[in-house]
Amino acid sequence: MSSPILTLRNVEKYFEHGPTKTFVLRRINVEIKEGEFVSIMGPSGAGKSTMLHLLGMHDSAWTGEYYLVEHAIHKLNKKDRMELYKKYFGFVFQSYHLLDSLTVYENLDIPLSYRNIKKGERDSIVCDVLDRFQIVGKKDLYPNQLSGGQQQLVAIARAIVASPKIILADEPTGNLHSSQGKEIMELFKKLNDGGTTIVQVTHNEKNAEYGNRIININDGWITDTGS
Amino acid sequence: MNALAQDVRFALRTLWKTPAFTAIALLALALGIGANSAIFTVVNSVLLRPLPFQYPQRICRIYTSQFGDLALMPDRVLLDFQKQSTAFEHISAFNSGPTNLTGIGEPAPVHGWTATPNFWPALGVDAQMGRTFRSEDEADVVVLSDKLWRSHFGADRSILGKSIKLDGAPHTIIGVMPPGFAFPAEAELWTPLTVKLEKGNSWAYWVIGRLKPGIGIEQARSETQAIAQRLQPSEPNAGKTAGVISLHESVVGKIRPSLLVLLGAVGFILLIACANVANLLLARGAGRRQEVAVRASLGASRSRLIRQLLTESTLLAICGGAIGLLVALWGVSLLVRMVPEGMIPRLAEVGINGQVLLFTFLLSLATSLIFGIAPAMQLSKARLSESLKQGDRRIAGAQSLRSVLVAGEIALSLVLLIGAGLMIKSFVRLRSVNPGFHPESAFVLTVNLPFNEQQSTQQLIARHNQVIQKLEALPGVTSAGAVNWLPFGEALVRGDFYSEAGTQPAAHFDVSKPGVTPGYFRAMGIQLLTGRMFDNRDTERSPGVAIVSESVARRAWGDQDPIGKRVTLEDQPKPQDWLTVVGVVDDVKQQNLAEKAPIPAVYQPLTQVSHSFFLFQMAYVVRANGNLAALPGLMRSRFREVDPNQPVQLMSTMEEMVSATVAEPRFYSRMLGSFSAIALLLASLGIYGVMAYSVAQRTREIGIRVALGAQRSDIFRSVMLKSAFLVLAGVAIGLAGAFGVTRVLQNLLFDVKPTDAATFAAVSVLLILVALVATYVPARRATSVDPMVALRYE
Repeated sequence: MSSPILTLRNVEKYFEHGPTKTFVLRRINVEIKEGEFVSIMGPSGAGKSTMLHLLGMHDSAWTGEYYLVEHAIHKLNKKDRMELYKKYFGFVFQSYHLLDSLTVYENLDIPLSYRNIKKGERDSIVCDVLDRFQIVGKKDLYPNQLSGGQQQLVAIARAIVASPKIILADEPTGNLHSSQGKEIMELFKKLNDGGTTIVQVTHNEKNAEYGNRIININDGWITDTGS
Repeated sequence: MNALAQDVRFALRTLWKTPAFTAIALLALALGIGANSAIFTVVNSVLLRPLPFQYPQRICRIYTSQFGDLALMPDRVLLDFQKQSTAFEHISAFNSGPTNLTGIGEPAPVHGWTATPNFWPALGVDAQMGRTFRSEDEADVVVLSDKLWRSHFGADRSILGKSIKLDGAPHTIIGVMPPGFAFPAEAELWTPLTVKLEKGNSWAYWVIGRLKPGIGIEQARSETQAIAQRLQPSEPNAGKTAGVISLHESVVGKIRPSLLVLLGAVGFILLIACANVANLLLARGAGRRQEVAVRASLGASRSRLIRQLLTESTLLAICGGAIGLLVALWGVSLLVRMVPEGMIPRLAEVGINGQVLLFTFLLSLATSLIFGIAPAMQLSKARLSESLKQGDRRIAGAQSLRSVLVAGEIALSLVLLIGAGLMIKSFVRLRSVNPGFHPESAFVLTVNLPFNEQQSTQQLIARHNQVIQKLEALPGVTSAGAVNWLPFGEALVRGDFYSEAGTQPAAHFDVSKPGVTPGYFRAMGIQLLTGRMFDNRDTERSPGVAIVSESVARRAWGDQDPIGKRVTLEDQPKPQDWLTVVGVVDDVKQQNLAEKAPIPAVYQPLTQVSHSFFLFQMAYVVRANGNLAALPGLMRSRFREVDPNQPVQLMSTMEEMVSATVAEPRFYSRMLGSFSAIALLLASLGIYGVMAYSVAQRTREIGIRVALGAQRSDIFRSVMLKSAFLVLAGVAIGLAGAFGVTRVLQNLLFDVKPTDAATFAAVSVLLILVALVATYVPARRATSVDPMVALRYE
């Protein structure tokens, strides 16, 4: 059995309103092993996305322990977290969040430029990814010239362009119709088969079935870790 | 480098995609940077650039006596000083010279100077053609300026050796100076000066010296004061009144504070423009929050995000600076046209050069940081997980930062407005000062006859009377007269005045002592208070008479009737030097409207002026009604009938002459008024922007309030109150700032205190009203929010 790549121990997140605290996540204990494809499910407002963003280090206002492989994230400063984030994570959003003013090519290039990779090397990586995702013909188009499915395809290409070990996906098919959604999920499956750890938030049970484990969350509590 | 190029490319694309934002920001920046570059161009050319002489830092003005603004050296002192001084390698004297150029077509007035031969080595300049003076030169040679050579001699290259007439005397042209050389101020030609002592006469000169290498100004100053003390033992303050200042300081020192005030004012405009652009960036930042969050989620560090955002601001500022340069180009030419003649020295040298370009570039970079850093910091610290959720477009703290910026804009605008208000009030007060005569419909023609010791007073008076008779005969002329020292003219002769008490002089004070013809008072509109005007009874042979101004009568005799009293202008009067007072006239401002106390005047009939020296400079004054347009031409031609070879120095109306003396305050009022109008406009736009944005953000909240039963008036009031709070905060800060800053205007104000409460109050009310008008539109828009639409908002 492979070792845990993500571990949360007793993690809590809350908002303070004067003397009272409103908990969004409560006593979260969960382990995700390298190569797993995990789906986080639960009703709206249960804390799914919050947990995903917490895993993706978009949020630092929480308590508890968070280990990424052997790195104790809760002990790291912002800069070190950012370095680890760049090394380990790719993120896919429900609403794609492609940068409107950049072409498809530039959208793929930008995560690499943030990792200080040289231009020549970046060009070769981007061309390779364009080829793998069969979107070479669209490289000079802007996001608003693409369909929703195509945009999400580019978003996933952008998420994997820097070869992350983990992809975090927040309702990746939420804005797509079923056939497009199916294609995206097949793509995730393929990436997972290639060794990438995937954690997705979804409402869709069919999509959840692409994964090998489902974590259920309700009112901020994990009700089932699926293990 | 590659990343920078990428940032620049993205920034350009982002700016291109938001044309309205880009255009408004560029306009504000171009205005702010352009105004600064324009004023800096003047400051650089006038204050910062060295004088166009060789080693100009070694050239100094030297003086041992001060008469008001005049810092001179008497001839006797000068000759000894030249022998004793060890600090200077050249000590040169100069003085005003010929003023009439004849013998080349139309007679022309010129700015002529006389200068000792070492004038040129002292300055370190040489002729572009021919030569300058040699010690063996007689007084009949002349060196021309390049400007005069071109304007009057058609740049004739074979001009050397030719003869021209200056003040009626032939002079041989020996050289032409290089283009741009016009020292002292606006000099057009120079004739040789030999300083020698004359029995019974003493002259004082302007003096410059070139310091020997390695000698500092302080050292030269100590030496000069010691020598002055030694040479003038009878004057106990000789050492104190002597001094040495750099020639640069002597030329530009007086104008420095005023130019720095203007530079400060445009600095305020730039800060206001920066606040406006920062506000725009913050408003636009709300719409870019997700983009920034996505970039962060893709691995961009905060410093990288700030760099990207600052690249955009820098590009904006540099483009704004480039357009600003065009604004500056236009502004400088406008400024040069607006500046009253003689107000700013070295104006001909003003121009945009490499230093101005560098200044504009650096200013643009600094500007980009000023307006870009706060929005970049705000935007880059937005919380990621919340930013990535759809529809959340708020940035923590952005609204309060926008409010702070607007309050700051209002404060800066208020300071500028108060400055302008003070200048305008001062100008209005100055213009309402009664000069003591009626300048309306009074025309003046002045001449400087060549000084000729052979001409008798009778000959000169006959000539002036002949001119007056011809002027009186002109159609529409109601009176005509002449005066040797015209009020608001270039010079004023002053001297001692003594009133008689028994057989001894009693009251003794300094007066101006013009000689006038009988028609002068009527032509000028100077009111006779008591007694009579001069008339044909007052001849050369009749007993001496005088008309005194009211202040003389009051000071000398208090409540007594001055008519019949005897006065003299001589300190050791002979019997014929006593004059009987026959009339009292109104006090007249002699030099400018800002004179605090009237300069007392004792008028003598021209016929009784005993020294011919006082009759060479004359102003003919004519009062007329009816069609006045043709009068100047007619006056000129009548004068020519008497003396065809004599150039007219000045042909003007008295109104123009009075107006010229308030040209400086008028200029400052206009400049500060224009700057504060721009500031007010920018601040109003800022308030409008913030309130409009605030209302747009509150649309949902306002919709709910309306749905819950809020009245339109409640909504209107809440928006107006919010704006009023911002405006009042800005006004409070601005008032405090103005209280400190307006002191720099002290020397530019007339009869108005820098902390004039009425101006502070009136301007604050004006600003508040304008700000509330700017809020009115967003407030009205808030009252028209449809709750049904608003609740579906987002």
